[in-house]
Amino acid sequence: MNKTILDHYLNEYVNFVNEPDNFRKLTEMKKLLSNIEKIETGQTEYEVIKETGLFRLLHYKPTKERVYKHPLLIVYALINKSYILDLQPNKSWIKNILDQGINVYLLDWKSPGKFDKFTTLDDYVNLFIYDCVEIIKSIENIDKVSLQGYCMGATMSLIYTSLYQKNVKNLITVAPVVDTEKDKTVIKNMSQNMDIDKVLSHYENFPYELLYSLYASLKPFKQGVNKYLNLFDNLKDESFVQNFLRVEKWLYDTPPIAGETFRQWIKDIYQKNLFSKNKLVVGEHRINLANIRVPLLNVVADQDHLVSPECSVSLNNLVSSTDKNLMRFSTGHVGLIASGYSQNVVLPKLGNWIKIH
Amino acid sequence: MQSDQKDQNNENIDSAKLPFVNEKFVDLFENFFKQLTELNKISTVGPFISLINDPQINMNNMREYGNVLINYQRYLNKYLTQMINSYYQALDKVSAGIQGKDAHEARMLIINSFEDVFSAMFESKDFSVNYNNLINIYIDLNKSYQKFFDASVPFMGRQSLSKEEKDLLFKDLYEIKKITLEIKNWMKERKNE
Repeated sequence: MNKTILDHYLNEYVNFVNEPDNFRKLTEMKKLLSNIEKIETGQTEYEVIKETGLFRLLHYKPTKERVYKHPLLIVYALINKSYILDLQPNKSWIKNILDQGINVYLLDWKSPGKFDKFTTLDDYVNLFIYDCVEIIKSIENIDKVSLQGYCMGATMSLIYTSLYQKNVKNLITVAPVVDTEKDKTVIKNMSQNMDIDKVLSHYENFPYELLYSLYASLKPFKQGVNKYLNLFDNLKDESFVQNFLRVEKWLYDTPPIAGETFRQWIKDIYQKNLFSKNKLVVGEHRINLANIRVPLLNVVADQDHLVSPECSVSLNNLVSSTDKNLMRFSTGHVGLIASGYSQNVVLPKLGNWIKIH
Repeated sequence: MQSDQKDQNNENIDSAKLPFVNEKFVDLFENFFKQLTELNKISTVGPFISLINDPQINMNNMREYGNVLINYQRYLNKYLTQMINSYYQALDKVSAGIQGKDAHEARMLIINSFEDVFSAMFESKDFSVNYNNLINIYIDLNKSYQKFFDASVPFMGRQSLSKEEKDLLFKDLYEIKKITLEIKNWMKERKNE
């Protein structure tokens, strides 16, 4: 090792060891991280409207008088768990929308078991999302819902809307995966050379360990290492620690993805880019984004390192909606939905858009 | 580019049949197999031997397992070489700029230097190809190990369903669940009408 760096490391090490409080802090950090499972998330009150082996339809209790007629159905992604949308009261996407007088339902995906390996993208859209929309229409006695999808959930919402437009009042896509040829992320790079058939010849579903290994390659030092140094520096800040632990819990809470669904996701969407070329076939339907004519709001994070902004922005050129809006925000993929910035900047604009459409 | 991709995929699929990278390994394994065969011929009497398959069959599986193991080592070495190279590149970047920095500035320099170098590697096609090869060969290794075990002591594997049998069962379960849901939806629609 270079002598200058070695000197620096040795100095830092000596300084660290000479400060007795550092060992106490390290022990405290270890204790906090080893008890992460116990930390509470998702505190906004809801009722379970329907539960099957693969999803739950949740209806959130209103917090304000309703100012918008159409209920909002949020379709979460198949990646990690939906409680990122309700992380803690002051950083809850769902609570913020409820507080704006909007009626909120959430499609919360459950982890697929081995026997769910044959569940397809077609099932997720044409059975599960379809079923939930019909239930909401029936409960609310209404003919259309406002639909919002996040990440992979936004792509599924787009597929649903292209097929069942009559059920959709307006569509909000948050960081959607659309034109993957324009995606410059590590995820796209790794997916491009993935032999998904081989992986699924051995595993039933796409294993969470492989998903997690992909995430570990995303900003490995700025986020992977630096975040723990930041935690060490901010151990006395209770609010910082609690927020850190909640996000950390979510990051490690990675379920597997149903085998057949992920096969199509990788081959057709990431490797062949069929979705943006209007050549994706879901079940018996060929998906044409130009069929979409409902008002569209496309919300994109300019520092998104999971879905490149360019990959999402293309959507506005592919739909036929005359009323279409693109909102770009200076934040990342998770910051877009679970941060103070999201609460103060993103959600007020999103809520206002829903109310006037 | 498509041709590259095709070649790469071919390599992935047939990785178990790839030639040995080093002729010395061929000799080594052949000698080992010969000696194993001779040893097996000696002890053909007794209750346990009757439960084990013909050693000749085992040897073929073992040869395949050996091939996979060598290719696994090959991809693992390439992966580790990429990681180590990046580590030293990042150290070079740090050492070029660390002088005169205070503790906080040095920490940021280290994090930013490592981030730049490693992210560039993770975004490269070379890394993506090799990493996916490593995953594929790891799967081959598991399959080959299982095949070797199943062929060696066939009666041991009969306690549980094979992958193919499980898949058939899962497919039937999936079809039943799907049809049930479709019938329920259809009945609900009829009721609403």
